[in-house]
Amino acid sequence: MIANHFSPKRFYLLTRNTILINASKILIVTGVVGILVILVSGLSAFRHTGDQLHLGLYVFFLFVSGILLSSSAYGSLREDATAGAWLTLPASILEKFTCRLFITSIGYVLATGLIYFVISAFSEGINQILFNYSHPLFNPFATRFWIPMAVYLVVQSVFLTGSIFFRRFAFIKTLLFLLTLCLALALFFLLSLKIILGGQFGTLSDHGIQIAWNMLSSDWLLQVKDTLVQIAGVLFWGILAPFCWVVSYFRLREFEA
Amino acid sequence: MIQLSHINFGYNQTELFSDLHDDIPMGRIYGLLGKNGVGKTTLLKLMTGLRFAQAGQCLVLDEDSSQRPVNMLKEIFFLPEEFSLPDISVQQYQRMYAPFYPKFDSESFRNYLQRFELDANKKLNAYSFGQKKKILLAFGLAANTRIMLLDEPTNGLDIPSKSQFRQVLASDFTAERLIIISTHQARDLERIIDAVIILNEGTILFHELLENVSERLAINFQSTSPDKQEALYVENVPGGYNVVTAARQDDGQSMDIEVLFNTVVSNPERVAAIFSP
Repeated sequence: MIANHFSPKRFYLLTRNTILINASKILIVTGVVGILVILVSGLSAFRHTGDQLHLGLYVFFLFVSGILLSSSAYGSLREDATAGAWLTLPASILEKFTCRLFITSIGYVLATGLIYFVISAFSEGINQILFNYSHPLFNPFATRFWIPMAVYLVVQSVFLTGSIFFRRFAFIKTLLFLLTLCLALALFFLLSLKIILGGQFGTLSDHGIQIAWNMLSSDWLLQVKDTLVQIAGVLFWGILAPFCWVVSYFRLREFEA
Repeated sequence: MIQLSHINFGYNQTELFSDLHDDIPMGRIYGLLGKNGVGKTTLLKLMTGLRFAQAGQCLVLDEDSSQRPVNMLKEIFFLPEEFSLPDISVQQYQRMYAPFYPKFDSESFRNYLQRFELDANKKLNAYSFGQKKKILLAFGLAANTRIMLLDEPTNGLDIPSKSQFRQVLASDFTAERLIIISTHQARDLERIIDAVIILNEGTILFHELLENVSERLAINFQSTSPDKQEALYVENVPGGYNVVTAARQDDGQSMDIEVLFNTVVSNPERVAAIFSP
């Protein structure tokens, strides 16, 4: 029964096949990123600046390409010609889901970390020869990379979910959804403040906000603020990603082609 | 066996199947016939779990197809009418997808490719649509799945390929397998199918072995105008009429599938009465 739901062998086969089928795209993207890194780090080395260059560049590429990748993870389901073949392939929905999740999350972070290390080593070798200056090598295991990586793992789960819900332009639609959600939360927060602060928060003028801020500085409201920050932390770090995974899994189970 | 139990299905507000109910046993090659838009492809999709019944259940080898269990999927090969293949060679395709089918036979796959005159070293995208279809068919046959569902398999095939298709399918068929071929080109199925299912207006109008059809219906050529009371279906042909009637002792001509389809669709009640036990 377990083999019917999750078999490591089938998970490996699905992951391997996904990578092999997209090998040419992966090589092209790696090539483009490699050239950009060599150019940017070369320019920076020429000026003898940019000690934190690789941290910034890696995090930039991790988020941009990773989120675009997550947004297109279920793109094959949008076309009848490919959706049928993928859904009828003898592997369970759990295996198909975890394969896509792995490739766009942990697998992506590990692979890009390794590839970026090689690119940075190559570019810094060139910099040393040409400009007699090199930046510190990119170390994917350095603790300063952990927070951006963890943030990426949470954020990508939202875009992965968007990829299965939105038929076209999943990236833009997910972004718009997040913006709408943020606006709605901000509005809710402001309305709550208005209710709590009553007449002293009649307008959104500078004066009104100043009064609100003074009120928020009172002890009990500071406690409320700390609690809200803690709740937001738990929601972001502990709930958001698993929630998105569960929602994506059930959506995939119900997907018809 | 495939069991369709009281299935209702529709797209948006349009009902396609209403209380669809049938058992399709193993060991036969079925022709699934019906007019355009009657739901042939949808029925195959319900069987593979690509579509879910809105009421009722589709059991394939005793598994609920809507759950898409692995045990069912590894025993089904579905060749859709439209498909897209990755830009890899035939050999790479085999290496990548054959491990999902536990009974896949590489030697058979090579043989089928040879019979279809295809080169395993060539890239899939270098082949024409019809050739790609033959590659998938070869793969499906070599996968040794118990059930094969083929949606319009002869579309895009040239005349020699249609003949190859019929020969390969008929020669390697075993009693443990079930093949359902959906088509609107009934003549392409002649001499390979041994049973027929006709879909019409949301239900299965006719489900019979061709052996029984030959016993109960007869097609005869007449040069004079046929008796309309006796005739189930009349088709004008050069020099006279092809007339379908209930079979008599001296009738021996085998039934043309296209004529059978037209007979059943044009006169369902009288045909049903002839086939009722």
